[in-house]
Amino acid sequence: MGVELWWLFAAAIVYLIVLFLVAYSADSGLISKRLISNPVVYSLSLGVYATSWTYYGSVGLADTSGYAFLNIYLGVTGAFLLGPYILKPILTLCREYQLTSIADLLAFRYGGRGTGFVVTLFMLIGILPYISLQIRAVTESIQVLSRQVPPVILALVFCLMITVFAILFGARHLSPREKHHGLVVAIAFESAIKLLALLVAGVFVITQVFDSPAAMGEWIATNENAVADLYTPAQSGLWSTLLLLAFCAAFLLPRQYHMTFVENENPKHLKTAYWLFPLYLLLLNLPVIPILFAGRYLELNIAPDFYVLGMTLSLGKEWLAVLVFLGGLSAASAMMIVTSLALSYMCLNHILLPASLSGTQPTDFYRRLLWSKRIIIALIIAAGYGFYIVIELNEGLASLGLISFVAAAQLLPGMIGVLFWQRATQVGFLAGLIGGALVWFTLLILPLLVSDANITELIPIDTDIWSLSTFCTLTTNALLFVLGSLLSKPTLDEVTASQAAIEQTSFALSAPYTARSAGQYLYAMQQVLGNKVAHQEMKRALDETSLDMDETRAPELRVLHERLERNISGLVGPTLARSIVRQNRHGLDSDADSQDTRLLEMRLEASREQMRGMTKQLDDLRRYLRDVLHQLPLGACSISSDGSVYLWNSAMQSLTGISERVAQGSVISDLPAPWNTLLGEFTESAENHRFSYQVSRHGKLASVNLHKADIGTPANTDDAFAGQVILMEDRTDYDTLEAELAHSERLASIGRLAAGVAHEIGNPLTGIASIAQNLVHDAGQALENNDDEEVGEQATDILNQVGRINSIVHSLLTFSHEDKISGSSFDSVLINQSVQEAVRLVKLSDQSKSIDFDVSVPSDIEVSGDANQLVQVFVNLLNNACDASPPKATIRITGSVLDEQLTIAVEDSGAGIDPSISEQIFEPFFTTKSVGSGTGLGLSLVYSIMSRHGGRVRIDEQYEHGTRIVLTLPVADSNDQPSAQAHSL
Amino acid sequence: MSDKTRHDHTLLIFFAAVFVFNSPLTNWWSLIGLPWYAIFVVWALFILIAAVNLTRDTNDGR
Repeated sequence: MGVELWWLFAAAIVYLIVLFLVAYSADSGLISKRLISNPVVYSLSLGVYATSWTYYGSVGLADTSGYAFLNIYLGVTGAFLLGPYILKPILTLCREYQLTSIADLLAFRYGGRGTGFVVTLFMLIGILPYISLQIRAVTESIQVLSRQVPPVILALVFCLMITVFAILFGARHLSPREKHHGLVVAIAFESAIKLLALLVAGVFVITQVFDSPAAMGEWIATNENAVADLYTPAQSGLWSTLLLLAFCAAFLLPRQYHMTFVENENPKHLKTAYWLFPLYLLLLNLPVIPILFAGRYLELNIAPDFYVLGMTLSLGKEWLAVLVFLGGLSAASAMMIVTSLALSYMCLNHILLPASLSGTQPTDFYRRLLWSKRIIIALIIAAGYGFYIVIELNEGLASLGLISFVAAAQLLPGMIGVLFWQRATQVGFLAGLIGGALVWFTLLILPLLVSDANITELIPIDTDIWSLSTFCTLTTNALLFVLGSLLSKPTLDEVTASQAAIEQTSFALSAPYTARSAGQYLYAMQQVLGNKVAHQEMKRALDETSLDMDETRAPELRVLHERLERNISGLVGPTLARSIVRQNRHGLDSDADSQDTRLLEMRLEASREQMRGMTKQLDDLRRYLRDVLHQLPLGACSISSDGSVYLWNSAMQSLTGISERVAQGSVISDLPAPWNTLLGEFTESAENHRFSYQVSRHGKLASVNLHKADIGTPANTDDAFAGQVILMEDRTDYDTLEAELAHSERLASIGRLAAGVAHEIGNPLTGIASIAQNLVHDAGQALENNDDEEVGEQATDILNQVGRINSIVHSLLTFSHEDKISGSSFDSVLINQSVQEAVRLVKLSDQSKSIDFDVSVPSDIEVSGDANQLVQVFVNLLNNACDASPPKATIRITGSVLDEQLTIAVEDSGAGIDPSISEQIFEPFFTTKSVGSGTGLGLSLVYSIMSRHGGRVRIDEQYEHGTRIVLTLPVADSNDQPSAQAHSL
Repeated sequence: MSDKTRHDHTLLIFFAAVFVFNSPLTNWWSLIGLPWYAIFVVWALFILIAAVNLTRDTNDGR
């Protein structure tokens, strides 16, 4: 009894098509992103670990070695328990440096093309047994169900199908750096199918084979040693060996590395995987023992590896047989697809590209990469098929898997060096790896190729082959690794990479090596990657670092260098990326790196999470002092000994308009004018202080004080931090205040002068007026006696001019006597009355007779003040308004109260006041009238009187129909007294 | 409880698992007549303890 082959073939094809559609839907966005980017999906995708070995081989291993089969999964659980210490750092490194394979990671850490090449070659050989295991499992499972076709043909057909789907899943796109969402979802789907199939088989065993759990319990009870025999291997060396091998395989097998780190979309998903993935493995292995018991119970005449299939057939459940077969197919296909994809990355980056990229510019780099990957995938699967054909193995499926596990474990010493041992060197790593690989080949591969070559018989240790080979290979590897590392000196690149690896910080990997310009990097990339790819990569790096193509500053170029190396690493691997970016570079002295404050700051900030104890305290202090400098209200900058800006704080940025990003790293002469000249001259001058230095800023003159001091002396500080510190103090506002104060003083002086002049003029003026009066009297008498009347006219003129001089003196005295008015002499004054009084006085003059006065001031508003002075204010304003107005014009006086402030506006319809003189018209002696028409003191009097009354006067510059002067006074309160010194306007 | 303490718990859980699954203690299982699924129960227990400890982390990593 069996299943028709075409039925199995059709089921397989349909299943793989469904799988492809799932992947395609995920890639195309038909499946919601929430379902794709999901910690559960991610954890299930790690289920690629469970291959045909789990599906079939676990039962076989349980039959021979009891519960030792579980160690293949307990070891993985241990690795995930230590996830925060092992997995997370690796993930951080992979994401930070775009490391797409384990060979990339080791090449990144140990450097050199040889590292990547050796790791890739060894992994290719080491994983071949594992691939052949999958082929064997699928073909033998088909043989169990349907013995119609020779297994070699079955294997070939299977390999061809897997090759097509592997290319479709992992090599469809032109962007090698992008995540394969579809692949992740497809693998998660396959993991779910595997689990479902095995659980259904387990339920079937308990309910159909044994009829019930109790019945199974009875069978176990009748077979006393059934369970005890399962625990017996716990006493053997195999138990510990399998735990160790599985622990290593959890993150060192290429497919596990790929799914765990390369395809990880969100680091937070790893936290869920720490426990969810081990839980998945537990559920997957739960049916294994019942299936083993069922096989023994049914006395199936097939290899224990295939009890699960034989059991379904013996009870006539063909549908279950097909389901179980699909589970096995799922397990095998997932492993082969992901492994071939992972190995293809390694082969591309470390074998093919280094050999092919030299000199000539490739025309279409991305397409070349894509087709290379497809061909490599096909070749890897073909090699697995070849291994399957060549090797004859009579032991169970698990043996093939364990050969690959021991191979993968050879990377453990190197990985310990990546994560924990800075002293490890490339020499030590390669010596250990090659030594361990040779022992592995001798003990495990050679006996498969040559039937008489069983070296283990020569070794007088009584243990299983797996324990022996694991011990020998790892001991050889570790010894050579340690000795080789201690006897060789790490290169500068290794030191930098080891620091980056251990602290998972974004270090500048090649900081001492930079180009002179961004264009040099572009040229170097064009030679290797081609024009199009070079420009794309340069654009990407410039966008990510916010730099321009014409960048020439060394610190910025180091940042660009590091970004380019990182980005290209995702394309061609870290080794090739480093050699491309470093072409034609100029090596700077190692101190250049320490002078690069941006890189230093980046390193410290990135490694802050790992700081502890005094280191953290020192870093806290550094950050505090940095913040103090940056928040100083004074502009502060420091200039290093080579003339470049080292520090540029926030105040400096505000003062100069030059951002910190632009200034830092620039030499002074490259700063925008006028700061390059200002700072350049000052740094070279002998003086340490410069006061009230005038500089043009934003089109206006600014006044700054400059101070400088030398920092660092060769005797007690690192020369890299020597230079000068410059402080810049903006005193523009201070100078303005000084000017205003001087102006006020000048006004006060003029007042004092006016008083003195008035007194000096007043006395002789009185004498002249008396004499003139007598002349007029005498002239009057002479006129009666028909004497000369001209004398009388001249005397009258003298009197008129004296009267005029008198009015000027009176104004001067009034102006100078303002200081004597105090608040105690203020009374409540009805402002409407003052306005009306002023209007009456002004109407007396001939000039104002044709002018109409429109007064609308509230009649009940009182202010505290001197009534006569207030009348004087309105008289002066109305006189000016009359002088400016044309005949028959209307002068409007309006008043309103708001928030205890009385506002009175005097509006005329004259020509208005030129805005250019609006600030000067309140100054004494300033007048726009012709000589003799005005004293120039009227508005200055208004200004002074208003100040004394706690008010203000201003020109309304928005008024377009003439001149509008606005007076503001506080409304009188019975308890208020305006101060003698009015508040400034 | 600080993050460092939680991370130290991770190490404790790991070493406890090593002690249970890879030490002379493992031999006792076959002597005291445990059912066939006992090892799965112990395994599940460690997964549960690890899940509780790790999901309480606010800062995953060292």
